[in-house]
Order: sequence, then structure tokens, then C-alpha cells
Amino acid sequence: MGHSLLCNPLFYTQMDKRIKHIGAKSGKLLLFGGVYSNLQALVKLVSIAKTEGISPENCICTGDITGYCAQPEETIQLFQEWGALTIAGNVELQLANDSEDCGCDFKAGGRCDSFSKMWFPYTKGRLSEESLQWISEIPEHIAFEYAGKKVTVVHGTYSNVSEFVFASNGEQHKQRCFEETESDVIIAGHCGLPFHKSVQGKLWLNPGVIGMPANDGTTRVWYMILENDNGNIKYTHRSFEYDHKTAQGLMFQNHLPEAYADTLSSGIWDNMEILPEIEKMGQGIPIYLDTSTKLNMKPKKQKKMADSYYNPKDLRKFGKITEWSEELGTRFFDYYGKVFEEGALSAREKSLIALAVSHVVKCPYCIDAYTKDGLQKGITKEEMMEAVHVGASIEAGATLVHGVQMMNKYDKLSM
Amino acid sequence: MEKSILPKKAKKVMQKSLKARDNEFAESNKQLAILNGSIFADGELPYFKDKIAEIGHFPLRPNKLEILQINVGYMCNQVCEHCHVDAGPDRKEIMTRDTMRQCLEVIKNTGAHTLDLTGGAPEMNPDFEWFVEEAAKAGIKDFIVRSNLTIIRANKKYHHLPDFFKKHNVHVISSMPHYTRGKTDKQRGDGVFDKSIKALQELNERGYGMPGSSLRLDLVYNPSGAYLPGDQVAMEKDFKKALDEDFGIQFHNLFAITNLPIARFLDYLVASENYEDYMYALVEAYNPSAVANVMCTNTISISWDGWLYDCDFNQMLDLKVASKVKHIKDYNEDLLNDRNIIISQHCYGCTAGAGSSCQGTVVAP
Repeated sequence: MGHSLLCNPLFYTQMDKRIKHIGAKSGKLLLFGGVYSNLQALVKLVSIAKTEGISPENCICTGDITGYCAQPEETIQLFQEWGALTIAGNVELQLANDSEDCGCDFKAGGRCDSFSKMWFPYTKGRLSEESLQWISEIPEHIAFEYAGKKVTVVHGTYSNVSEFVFASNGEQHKQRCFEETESDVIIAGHCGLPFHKSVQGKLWLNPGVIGMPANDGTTRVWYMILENDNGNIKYTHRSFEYDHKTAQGLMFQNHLPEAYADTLSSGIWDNMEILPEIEKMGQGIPIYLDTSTKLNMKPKKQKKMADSYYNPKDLRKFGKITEWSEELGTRFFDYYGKVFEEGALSAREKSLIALAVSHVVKCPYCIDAYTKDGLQKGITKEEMMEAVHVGASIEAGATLVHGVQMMNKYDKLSM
Repeated sequence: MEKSILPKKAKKVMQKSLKARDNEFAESNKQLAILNGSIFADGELPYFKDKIAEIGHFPLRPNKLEILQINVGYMCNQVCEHCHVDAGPDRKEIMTRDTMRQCLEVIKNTGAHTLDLTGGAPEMNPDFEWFVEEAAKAGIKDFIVRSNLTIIRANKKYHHLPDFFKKHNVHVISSMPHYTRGKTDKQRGDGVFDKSIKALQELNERGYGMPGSSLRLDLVYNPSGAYLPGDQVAMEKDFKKALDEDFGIQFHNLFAITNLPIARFLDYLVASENYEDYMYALVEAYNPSAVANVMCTNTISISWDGWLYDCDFNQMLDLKVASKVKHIKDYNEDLLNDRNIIISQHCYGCTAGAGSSCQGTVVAP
């Protein structure tokens, strides 16, 4: 063992209090996590459990029943009705402590941080007294015996509910967790990605989450089946599809962060602030852990701005080209400014011409700039679209009129 | 990337105020934290105080007081997306008659020539008509009521308002985001456009907005999204032409104003990931000539509970005047005018382009 904390007798008492021992389990187990208020996903999971003949006491959740999506109260109620077991995730602990934020371990000022300021108060505001009471009574950890092995369920790690532990990192955290809980198998959640890892003969299992896709460019969500195969623990990763369109629509309607709502259909996370380098590389590549379903999709690489040539933020830096050639740059911008002033043509007419030409020359910066300029000038979207068609028809017409040359040549060469 | 076809285009459901939704941006300190943080804190964009210091306008000081703007309550029959007041039917903050009496004392003795009643929907204050009747007796030169128009058609008890306004020679100022149906309803709620048109026609019938009429009717335009308003003169021409041709409606002037990053508009900017770009746009459009004429230099804003502010925006950010005179009961115009105006990064909204104020642009074209 060797961890210094374990020598402290006070620690043993605390350790006992923090783990709920539920005896031995047998039969098939269904492990899952991160429901994140996604009622539609939970409904599907409950029906899967019924189809597989797995009773609710054998269904175990790694925490975070409420989270990013739009229906926290309904999700909690369905969960209770179902009767599955769960431990407290960071969201549950923060709700139980009447906290102001979700308690995740991400950097302040990042995107996750600012988005959590939207969905956490939303979640808190939507939960009834009864649900909050039920949430406050959820145990921090669960331990049981299975196939002769000691299994403990944690959210992040045993000592830190908000620790992000992935396949590629956290070797020491994993080891310490096994030691502190004196278990052979750890079932963990929190990080959002399904994986399994052997650590010096012990097993770390993360069934993944069902409330959000796994950043692999598919809309699938993940869980795990555990079986006792003649004294050996057999684990299987499984995925399923569910009505993500409804879940997404409700998020939009309720003004939850659009970036998270988009993820439900794109399968791509808004940001990878919490991911180690290796997991980052997995973005958009369909996970192949589920051997039971045939995967016939091509890897979908999302055009993240950092990987593509254009960055919209560069538009506002346009003026900087003057820094490397002052006279020419200044002359250009003076000329450019003059061109767009009110003249024989109005500024409004010029804006529409510029919009059309931007499409013909296919400049994304120009398209953005003149769309915004049009909005400011009160130009309607119907007018803008017509302008695009004007550009398109000239381009098409210019191509076609050369057909006359083709016809001439054809006639010239033919007898 | 697969984009959902869903509810961004769906029919807008009337929603609750930020306060009722327990949204973070209902708190003024959270809003100020955003306005003072990130792109400003790490030096990408300059603080407003540094910008005005460059032209010797820091600290910003008031000129002669000309306008008393009284917010008689945050209750409103609409829940417009861009509202910096976070007004709505669920807000219960309403000015009492006692506070109104205190205001009347000030109105009788003030050097200001304009009284500007705003809200929420000022008409929804149960003592609104009493207040107008009493204030009219004070002989104020320009008596403005900011009406959202739909209130006139909202409920039978408000149907007589056009006649009431006429009786007291009220100067009506109302908002029309855009004269095409789609844009207005998207921002302000379904049916708003039709009700607004009907209300304008009724006001026209009483003589409001007609050429040469002393019954003044002005419209206010603000953008339906995260962009700056276009040229006020051009907008006025466009609106006049369209409203006259389509509905036979006349009005006197159009004021083009900028949306400030406060309350619901700030919430929208952050949620739609437009906040940074919008602040960049405001800062890039900073016009030093606008600074001298910003409305806090000639206006005092009074809240429903009698506290004093440099402007309606500072009121919503709960930034009371930097003066010993903080409440109407202690009102002393000379003392009050001898103060530094409180500023923050939302002020970039009032100095962008041709500038912005409750009376439209602040810089001559």
C-alpha cells in the first residue's frame, strides 16, 4: 500500500463514511455515466436495460445525472422511477452544497467556464425541492464484490471528484485510487470518454457518458456491460443512438449554450480544454470500441479554425498589412475607403455590389465583412441573396458565353 | 459540420426576464465582471477611461442639466431580446406615488427643460396617468413618454392613451427595430409589428407625427443583432418611405441608437459568441467627437425607487451617482452636477460611430 494518508486512523473512518458498501453483485451489470439532463438519452438507456433483462439494482451510474442539457427535473424523476444506483458527480455535490458553479476542474476564463455559468444556474433553477433533497442523499462512492473482485465506483478519482482521468494520462492518479480504495476494479466517469486500462494487473473502466457524444464525430453515446465469465470479469463497450434532435431542440429553446447543443448533432466537442494531446487527436474519428455494431462511417474531421487556412479573427487585422509596406498599404486603404463613400452610386448600392463580387472571387473575409455591412445598412437577407445570384449568374454566363467560341471552332474544323 | 434545422427558426415563445430565469446576467456585478474582464483585462482592447483620457475627458464631468429621465418601473408587457433593463411582465419593481411626489418636487424646481418617462412600459405603472397629469402642471417644456406602442393595443384599459397623450401634449417616442415584419417580431415577440402599426395609425389620427403638428412623434431604431446601426439620416428616409407607402404612417424623426452590452443584450452576445467581435466593433468605431455630447453630460436618471444615476445604463448596472446626493429625497441640483460620471466599457456603445443616446446620434453628420 504505502500511501501515507492510510496510516492515519481518522482517514479510515472517513474512508468508510465516504464509500457505501452494497455487498456482492451477480449477473449482468450495466455501467453508465454523465446523463447531463439528457432525458431522451436516458429514456433509450432504460429501454436497453429492459431489453437486456438487467434489473435496476444492477445498473450503476458514475454521477452527473444533471448537466448541460435542457431537462434536469424530468431526468432526475425518470432516474428515481427507474431505480438505478448512482454516486454523486461534481454537479450533484455542488447542487447539494447550494453552490454557484458546477465545480469542474477547468481553467477560469475558458469556454467551459463561461458556458457553465449558463447551464448550472439553469439546472439549479429547474430542480424541485424533492429532487434536490434526493440529490443531497446520493453517496459519494459505492463499493461491491463482483466475480470475486473488489469494485469501487468513483466519479473523477477517489480523492478528487473533479479530477479528469483519461486513458493516456493520470497513471499515478489511477494507481493511488486503487490503493486508497483497496480495490481491483475502479469504475470511473467525469471525463466524458469511454475507455478501459489495465494498471499493474488492476482494471480501470470508464463506461463513457450518455448525455453527450464522445468527440468522435458521431451522435452515439456510450455505456458498458459487465459480465462474470467463469470468475473473470468481462467488459464490453457499447454505444447507442437516440432522439438527439429533440434533446438539441430543447437546448436551443431554453437558451442553453449553442455550442453544446451543436455537439449533440455534430458529435464534436466545442473545445478540448480538458483533453490531453493523445485524446485531442481522436476528435472526429469514430470510436471502434463497440464491436457489436457495424461501423460504416468515414472519419469526420471537423474544420476547427486552427486546422484550416482561414481564421475569421484575421479579418480585423487587415490593417496590419500596412506595417510591412507603409506607402502601398496606406494608398490602398485610402483608395478603398474612397471607393465606398457615397457617390454617383449610393453606399448601399456599393455594399451590395461588393457582397456579390466577394462571392464570385470567393473571399470569406469579404463575405463576412459585407454581410455585416449590409445588416448595418438595413439591407434584407432577400436582397443579399439576390445579389449573390447576380454574381453567380455572371460567373455562369461568362462560362457559357465562351461556348460560342467552342461552337465557332467546331464549325471551323468540320467539313 | 451538421447543423440542426431546429428551433433557431422556430416561433419565439414569450420568455421570462433574466431575473426570473435566475440567469447570471441578472446580477450587475457579473455583468461588470465581463465588461471589465478578458479582452480588456489582458490589454487586447483599451479601457474606456484610457481612451477618453487621451482627449482630456477623464474624469467625465456633466454640463448643464437638461433632461430628467425617470424610470417608473421595470414591468413591461413585452420581453424584447435586446432589453438592457431586463424588463418583462414578471418584474415587480414599480415606482410608488410617494416617490413620484418626490420627483414632482424636483421637476417643479429644476433647471432641466425635458422630462423623459421610461421603464419597462411606463404606462403599466398604476399611477402613470396621475403622474403625467401632475407633471404637466409643472410647465416642463418637452414632456417625453417612451411608449413601446403595443401597450396601447394590449389591453382595453390602455386604448384611450392616444387621447390622453394628446390632452397633455406628451412627446411620444417609440421603437421600431425594422420596418419589415420578420425582423421586428424576431426581436420583440410575435404580433408586435401589427400592434405597433395599429398604434401608430391611432396616434396619427390624433395628429401625432403629422407634418407641422406640435404633437411630436419620433421613432427609435436599434439593430436586431450584434452589429452597429447604419446612418441615421439614411435610416430615417428609408423608414419614412416604407411606413408611408405601406401603411400611410407619418412620424417626425428617427433616432438610430446602438445596443449596449448590458443585461439581455449582453446575455445574447455571450450565448451567440458575438461578445468579443461586438466589443471590437464598438472600440474600432470609437469617435472622440462623440464623447463631449454623451447623454450622461446633460441627463440624470432616476430609478423606480428614487436612486440617482448618470444614465439608464448605469442604473441597470446599479452604479449610483458618485455624489453625496444619491437619492431623490436629498436632491440638490448644484451639488449633484459637481460630480465625476461613472464609466465602464459599456460606454463604448455611446461613443461608437456617430454616437448614441436616447435622442439618437450625438455628433452632427
